[in-house]
Amino acid sequence: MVGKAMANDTMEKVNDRQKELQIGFIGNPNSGKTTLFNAYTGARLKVANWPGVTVEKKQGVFKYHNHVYKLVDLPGIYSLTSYSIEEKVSRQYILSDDVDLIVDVADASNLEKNLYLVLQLIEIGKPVVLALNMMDVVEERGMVIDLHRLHETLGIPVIPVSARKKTGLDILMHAVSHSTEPESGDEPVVIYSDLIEGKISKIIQRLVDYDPNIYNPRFYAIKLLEQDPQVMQAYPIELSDIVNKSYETEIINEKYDFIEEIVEEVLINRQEKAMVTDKIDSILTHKVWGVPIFLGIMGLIFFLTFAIGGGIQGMLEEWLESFSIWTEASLLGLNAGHVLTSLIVDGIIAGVGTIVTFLPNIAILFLALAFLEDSGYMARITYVMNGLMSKVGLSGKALIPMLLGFGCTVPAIMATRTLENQRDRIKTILITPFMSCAAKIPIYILLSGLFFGKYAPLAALSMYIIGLVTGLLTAYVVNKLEKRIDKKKNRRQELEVNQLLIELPEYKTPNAHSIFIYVWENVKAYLTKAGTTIFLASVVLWFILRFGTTGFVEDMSLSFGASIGRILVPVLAPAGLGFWQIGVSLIAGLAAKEVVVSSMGILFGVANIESAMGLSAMQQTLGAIGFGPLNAYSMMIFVLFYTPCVAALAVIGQELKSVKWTALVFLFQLVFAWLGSVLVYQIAGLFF
Amino acid sequence: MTLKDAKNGEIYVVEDSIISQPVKRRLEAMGLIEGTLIRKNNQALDGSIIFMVRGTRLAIGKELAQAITVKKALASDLGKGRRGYGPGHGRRRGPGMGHRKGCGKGQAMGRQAGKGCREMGVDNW
Repeated sequence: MVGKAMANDTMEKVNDRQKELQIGFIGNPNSGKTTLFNAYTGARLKVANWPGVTVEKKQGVFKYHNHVYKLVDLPGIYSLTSYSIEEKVSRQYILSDDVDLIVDVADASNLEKNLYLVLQLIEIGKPVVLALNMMDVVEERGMVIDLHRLHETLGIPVIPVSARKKTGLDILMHAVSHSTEPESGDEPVVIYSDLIEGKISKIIQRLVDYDPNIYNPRFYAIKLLEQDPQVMQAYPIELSDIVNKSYETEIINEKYDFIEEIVEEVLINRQEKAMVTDKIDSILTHKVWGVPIFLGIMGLIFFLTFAIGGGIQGMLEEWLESFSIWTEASLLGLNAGHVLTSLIVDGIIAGVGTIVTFLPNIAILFLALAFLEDSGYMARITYVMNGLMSKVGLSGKALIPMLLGFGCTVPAIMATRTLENQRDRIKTILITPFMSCAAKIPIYILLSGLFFGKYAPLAALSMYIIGLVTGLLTAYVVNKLEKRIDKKKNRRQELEVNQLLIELPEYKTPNAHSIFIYVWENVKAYLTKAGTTIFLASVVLWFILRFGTTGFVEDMSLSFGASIGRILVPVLAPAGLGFWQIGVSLIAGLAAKEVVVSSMGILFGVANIESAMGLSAMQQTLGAIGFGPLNAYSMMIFVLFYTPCVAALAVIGQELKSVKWTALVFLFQLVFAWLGSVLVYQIAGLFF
Repeated sequence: MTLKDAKNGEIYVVEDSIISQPVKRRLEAMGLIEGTLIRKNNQALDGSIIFMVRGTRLAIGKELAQAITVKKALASDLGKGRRGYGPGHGRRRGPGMGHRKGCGKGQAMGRQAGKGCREMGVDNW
């Protein structure tokens, strides 16, 4: 890419220049804004094939010919009328003074729908460059776009690019650097009917009277005709004699009339080659088979995660064990102190190393999720499952955050921003943590491997089913409560707002590069967590488990940790978890769920964890204190439900914007976990 | 009839949608307006449907599907090719969309520009 690698002396020149220009990347959802942004800035923001992946404004820097450009990636929008939270973000930014130039990223393979936003953006009056993305797809389909004519009709630079194949990027930046003034001058892009134009002229007159310095009054006049609430607030002028109703529908209609003419003129050989997608849809979104296929796919994902991933994990476990023994011998050979050796072997290797061995499982899970997201199936799931979801009072769209929650709760909570309805959002935020996240995988594998033998994968899988069912039931109950309160307060529910409305992208072969980025970013995050949070937690845990009032202790039951854990024993006893070791593990798990396993690694020694020989040894250790399969299952249930990690809690707080509600969610999950595990332990205890 | 009662695989013309404002606006922004040609693709057991509009597929819930009224597209609708689904659509207007060209650059925006353009032979609004 041009100009990315720059010598230091040019950097200085750059600094001498006037202020950097801000370029906003905007466009319809799923048109490839983030792919383009990544291509320019070298960022690795997540891209996938469903509408609404980007929910936040993200900034990056790109240098081109001694100029520094600040690129801003925005959530996709269909129009400047804000509808959901992400759209408000985009609209606010595009209309603010910060943005110097707008790059409208449009999906060229679907020009007609994308042009609507293009027209609106041009009307704003800021310089706009149209990046016609996915030109490779256009060519593949044998379509031809008359770029010259398109440029003429729109009056803005039109640059063909392919963000995925990184073609046209230089030309686009070149156009950007020359387009900091609107090209078309004062010419309006869409001329409306006489009726509308007459009203626009009258409103412009009043706007200019109201504010003589107003920039591009035509845009505000159109918005006032549409009775846009924000613009009406900004320009509270008397218009009742002109605007007797909202003319939005008329304006939309006339824009589309114009679009049809443009498409008619510039699109040659328009092909409906999208038939492949229809064929796949006839199977995957089948009336009867759609739901079983979805459940089958999810089952397969977890089978791969636990069965295949488990095999590789076992191998790594054995290496870790040998490494641990070797390290201990070498350290003692080097005359490293007893305490230091213990810190490294019993603390760090046991705590961090154990977590790292679960990397294959995590990688497989994220790989599978990446396929779901990049193929185009993700959006279909919302349709396939909409019936079931509406029974519990949620839109099918809530499934997207829920499925992402199987990976990590943090981005899943962020993804709830695509839900238009505030109540839907809160409910989804409440139940998403019940979708068992990847960090819990090590716990399930460890405990089920120890106690359930060949049924281990089944025991682990049951956690996902229990989590999902509980989540849906919770939503159902909350929905019933809401309805009752509404009835009491005589509020009418706006039914339609809850209704599913989502664009389904075309299926495509998942892109190797985006899949790699997706998996790698998640694996990296996991490793980073192992190196930071888990490392720190392991050291702290080692310390409180190896030191007591008498100093360094061999017997951990004399340690500070044991004393802390014992406080919880009476509380956890009804759940079959009344052991100080378990208490310590669960407290530690609040930092990050993996730490539950780390702490067990430290408590029982790494050599004991899951290797063939160590397995029976650890079973004996646990058996000796009275911890059997039932206790293990109860613990899995507790871990499944109890309060998500600190990071997830923070993002819940950020999205709910209320300390009180966040605290309630925290307590709700803690109490729920306790009740759940007590119930399982007590009831199952009657039978076994 | 409503979109819910429409047949899979058939092409229809949108008549109206009786839905709350924000959703209506959203559908309109996606190009679903009166006169648009759409093709119904699929219907789920719960009444959610997938349909094709302006080259994209939309999935909507039952209540929305019931709120959109359509009529069967006649051969003349397809021939006219007015709006939306299907090849070769779009009304032609005047000689070659001349209204943009010659809308005097440098003219004051608004009334004059608009008028000027309209006089250039745009008669079809």
